[in-house]
Amino acid sequence: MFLARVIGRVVTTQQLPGMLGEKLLIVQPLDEQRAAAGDTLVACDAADSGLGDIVHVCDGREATLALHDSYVPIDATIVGHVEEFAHDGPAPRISAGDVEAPGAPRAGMPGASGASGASRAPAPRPPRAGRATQAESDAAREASRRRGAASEERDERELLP
Amino acid sequence: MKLGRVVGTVVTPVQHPAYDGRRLLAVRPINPDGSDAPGERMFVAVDRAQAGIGDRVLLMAEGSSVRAIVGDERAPIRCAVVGVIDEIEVEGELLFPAGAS
Repeated sequence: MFLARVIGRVVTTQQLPGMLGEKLLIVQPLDEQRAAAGDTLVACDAADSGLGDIVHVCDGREATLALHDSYVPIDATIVGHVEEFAHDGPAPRISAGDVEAPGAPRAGMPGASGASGASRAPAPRPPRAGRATQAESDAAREASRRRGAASEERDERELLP
Repeated sequence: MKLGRVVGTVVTPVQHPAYDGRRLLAVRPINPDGSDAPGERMFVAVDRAQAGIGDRVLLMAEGSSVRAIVGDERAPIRCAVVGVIDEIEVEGELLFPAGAS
């Protein structure tokens, strides 16, 4: 399994029956700097990708398990659409403070066990609810709203081209 | 199994359902001394060992074993991080963590 960028597509008219209807794309494997690494290959598309997308490709026997028919001569399938790729190289996309502790569920990953993955920017806990004055809680709400907006802005920047 | 270093995390909002709830890591295969293994591409692997960025890990990059670990024989998953490495010793010489970068 590796990361790749979709750089083209392939159209075939004559193909095996099990492959009918499967979209074929040309992908360029990438390294951690998102630079091209290795030879391009043709991959089946199970994640509705388009030109220029950074995708997650599964290769080998498991590639066909993502397709409708798993006995087809296909050795690479796009199984995911990469939105964010954080790494520790020279050009990090996020700051060190944004990297969760090892083992923590990745915020923003859909389906990461419901509640924990549901919100990318959890609302800050209101300060001592019950004892806070109205003005304090208003200020906290306002700060929370601003933080949410800033976080969304950051998310926009993190989106891959 | 391969030795690897976790170089990043991967977030895929649109993905095959078999990946739902699974954390994906980008793993660079390494030599025992920590240098990048030549001719190996970077892997994307499902995290089964609670690994984080920078950790030396055991990477299983062979389909059927990984499907067994994952518990779904129909999952299109081929690579998994199955352990976090504490020590690497080769011919009596401690290469890790002594040479940790």
